[in-house]
Amino acid sequence: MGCNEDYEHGVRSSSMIHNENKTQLSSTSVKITQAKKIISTNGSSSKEQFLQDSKTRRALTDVPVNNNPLSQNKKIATNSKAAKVRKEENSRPIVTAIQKRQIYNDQNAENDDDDDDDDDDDDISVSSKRRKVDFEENDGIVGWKDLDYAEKNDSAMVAEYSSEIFEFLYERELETLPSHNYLLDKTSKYYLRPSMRAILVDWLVEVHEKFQCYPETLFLSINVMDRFLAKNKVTMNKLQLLAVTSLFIAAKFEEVNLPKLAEYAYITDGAASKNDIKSAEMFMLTSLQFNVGWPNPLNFLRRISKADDYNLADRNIGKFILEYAYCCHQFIHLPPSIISAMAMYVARRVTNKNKHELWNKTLEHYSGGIDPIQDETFQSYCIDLVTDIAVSKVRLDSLTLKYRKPRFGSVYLQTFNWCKSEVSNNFQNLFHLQRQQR
Amino acid sequence: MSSSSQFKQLEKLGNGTYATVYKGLNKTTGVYVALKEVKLDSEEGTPSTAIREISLMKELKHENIVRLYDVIHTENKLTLVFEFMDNDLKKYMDSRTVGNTPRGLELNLVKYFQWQLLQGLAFCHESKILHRDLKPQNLLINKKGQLKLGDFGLARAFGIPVNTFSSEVVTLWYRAPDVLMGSRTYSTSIDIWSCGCILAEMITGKPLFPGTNDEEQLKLIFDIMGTPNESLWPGVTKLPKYNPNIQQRTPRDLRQVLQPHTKEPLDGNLMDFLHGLLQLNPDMRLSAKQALHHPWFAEYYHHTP
Repeated sequence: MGCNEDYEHGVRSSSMIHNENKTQLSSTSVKITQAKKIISTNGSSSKEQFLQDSKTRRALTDVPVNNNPLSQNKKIATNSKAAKVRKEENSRPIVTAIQKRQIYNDQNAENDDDDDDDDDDDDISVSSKRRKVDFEENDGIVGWKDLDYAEKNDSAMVAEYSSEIFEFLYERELETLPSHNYLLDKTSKYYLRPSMRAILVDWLVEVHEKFQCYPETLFLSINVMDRFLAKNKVTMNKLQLLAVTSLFIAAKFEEVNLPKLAEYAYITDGAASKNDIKSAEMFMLTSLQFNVGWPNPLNFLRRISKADDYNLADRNIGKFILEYAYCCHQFIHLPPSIISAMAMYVARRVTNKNKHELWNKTLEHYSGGIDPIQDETFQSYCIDLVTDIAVSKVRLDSLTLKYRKPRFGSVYLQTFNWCKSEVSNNFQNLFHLQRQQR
Repeated sequence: MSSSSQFKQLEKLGNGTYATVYKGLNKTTGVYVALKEVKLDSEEGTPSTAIREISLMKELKHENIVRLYDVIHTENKLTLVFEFMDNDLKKYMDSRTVGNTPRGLELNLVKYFQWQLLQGLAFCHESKILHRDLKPQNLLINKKGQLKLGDFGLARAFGIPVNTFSSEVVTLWYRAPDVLMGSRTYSTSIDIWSCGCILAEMITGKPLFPGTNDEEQLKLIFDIMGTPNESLWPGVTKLPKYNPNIQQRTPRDLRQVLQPHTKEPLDGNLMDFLHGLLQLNPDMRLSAKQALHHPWFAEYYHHTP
C-alpha cells in the first residue's frame, strides 16, 4: 500500500516536472525491452521519462504520461483545423494528440468526432429524460422492469432489436474469448509475465488516447492482442509490434477516421516499421481467421447502467473499473458481460448511492442474468478486482492518470481509496447488505 | 483456409466497391463460387473494408445473405470465396427492358424479393450490423428465385447506443434524406430507406430518385415526398446540411407516380407499406421486423410457423 502512495506521489511530481520542462527538447528512443527496466526500477527514473519534448512521438517509455492540458492549450488554438472543428462540435477542449490532429487534417474529408465518451453521455441523458415518460412494469413474478420499452422512440438505442442483439452478443462473446489465460498459467508454453503485458496495455491506453480513438477501439485492441497471445509465442522484441498492430486492426474495424500507418510506426519510435506492421497485420488476421468483431464490453456496461438509472457517477467509476479489469492480467479469460457486471457492481458499492440495495431483479436482467448475491464465483472475482486496484501487482500509469482527468470523471482516487479501505476492512462494504440479510 | 489452386478462375463478374469479382470453380467439389479478389498493395495494409466485410460476414449465416465460405491469402492479394449466385437484381431488371422502356417486375415476384430482402436485413440488424449499401446491384439472385444480400464492404457493427458514423455511405440514389442532410447519428433506419427505393424500382423498373449530386438527390426526394419541416420531423432544421431556402413542396400521391409504369394495379396495402419505408423522418420508418409483419405480406407470414 505504501508503494501505491509513493506511486501516486510519483505521478504528481512527475507531472510538475513535465510542466516545468515543457519547452525542453530532448528525445530518447527507448524501446519496450528497456522500458520495462526503467519502469520497474524506481520512481526517480520516471523523471527522465517525463523530461520530454511534447512534439516528437516516442516509444513506449518516453511518451509523456501526463498530457497536461495547460501546457498544450495554446497549441490547440493555432495548430489544427480539425481540432478546432471538433472543439466547436463538442465545446470542450481537446487535450491530447495535438500533433496528430495536423496529420489528420491532411486527409480529413469527413469530420468525425472521435471521442464518443461525451456523445455517449449525451445520448444517455436524452434517453434518461425520455424514460421518465412511461415504462411498463412486467408482472410481479418476473420482477424486472422493461426499460427498453421506454426507449422505443430513441433510435440510437435500437430498442426494437435490443433483446435480440444482446442474445446474439451473449453467444458471440464466448466465441471471441482468448482460449485461456496465458498470464496465469506458468506451465503454458504461451505464458507471458503479467508485468510484460501490463506495459503493453498501458501503452495502448496512452496511444489510443493520443490518437483520439473511440473507447471501443481500445477494448477491441486488447482483446485482439490477448486472443493472439493465447495461442502464439511472441518474442520480447516483437511485443510492441504486436501491440501496435492490434490497435491498427481494431481501429480499422471501429473507427471512422483512421490514423495513418506512418503514425503507428512513428509512435513506436523505430520499434516497428511500416512494413513490419503490415506483415504483422496479415499474420494476426490469419491467426484470428479474420474474426475481428466481438461484443464490446461497453455495450454490456451501458446496458447495466440503464438498469442503474443511467447514474453518471456509477457509470464513470464503472468505466474506470472496466478498463482496469481489462488491463490487469487476472480476468482475460472471462466473458465481457461478466467483467462489465463486475465493474458496475463494484462501482455501485464505491459510490454507495444505493445504500439499501446491492442489486435487484432489473439489474440482474440487464446484466444477462447475473446475481452477485448468490454467485460466489462472481463475488470472488470482485474481491480479486478490488484487491488488484488497491494493491496493484503491475503498474498502469497511463490508465490511472487518464482517470484522474476531469474528462474521465476524475474517479481514480475515489475508487482507489475505497478499494484500499475495503482490503483492510475485509471487504465489509463490498457485500455489506448481503451479510445483513444472512 | 483452402489454397488458391483449389479454384479455377473463370470469367469476370464485375467490380465491387474495392475488389474484382470472378466466377470460379471448386476443382475438388465441382461447385461454382464467386471469387472476390482484394489487392493488398495499399499503403495502409489490409483495406478496412476487407477486414469488416470478412469479419462481419463470418458472423452472418442466413439464407438471405450470401455465404462467405473461405478466405485465401496469397502473396499480394486476398481472395474471398463466396457462394455463387446467377445474377444480381440490377442486371436482372435491365435484362427485362424492352427497347428503351424499362419494365417492372410482376408484383408477386416483387413481393417475394422484398420479403427476402427484409428477412436478410432483419437478421443483420439483430446481429447489430448495418449494411449501408443496399441497392439492386448488391442484391444477388439465383434461378430458384432466391434473393441474398451481398457486398458488405461498407457494412459495420454498431453498439448501443449507436455511435456517430460517417455520412459518406450508401450509393446516392438509395441514400436516406437524413444522411443526405449530414446526419451521422443514423442507425438501422438507414437501410430501410434503401429498401423503399428498391421496392419502387422493382415495381417500375427504374430508379425512384436518380439524382446526380447531393442537392439534386434531396430535391428529387422532396418533389415526391414533400419538404420536411419541424412539425413533421422534429430536429430536421438542425441537421448540418439542412437548407432553409429549399423550395417548399407538398407530397405527391406516390401511387400516381408509380402506377403509369406498371400494368398491375397498386393496392392500398402496398402503398401503405411503401410509405412506411419511405418516411423522411428516420424515426418514423418501419423497422425490418415491423415491415415483415405488414399486411402486404399477410400471405407469407400466415404460412410461416
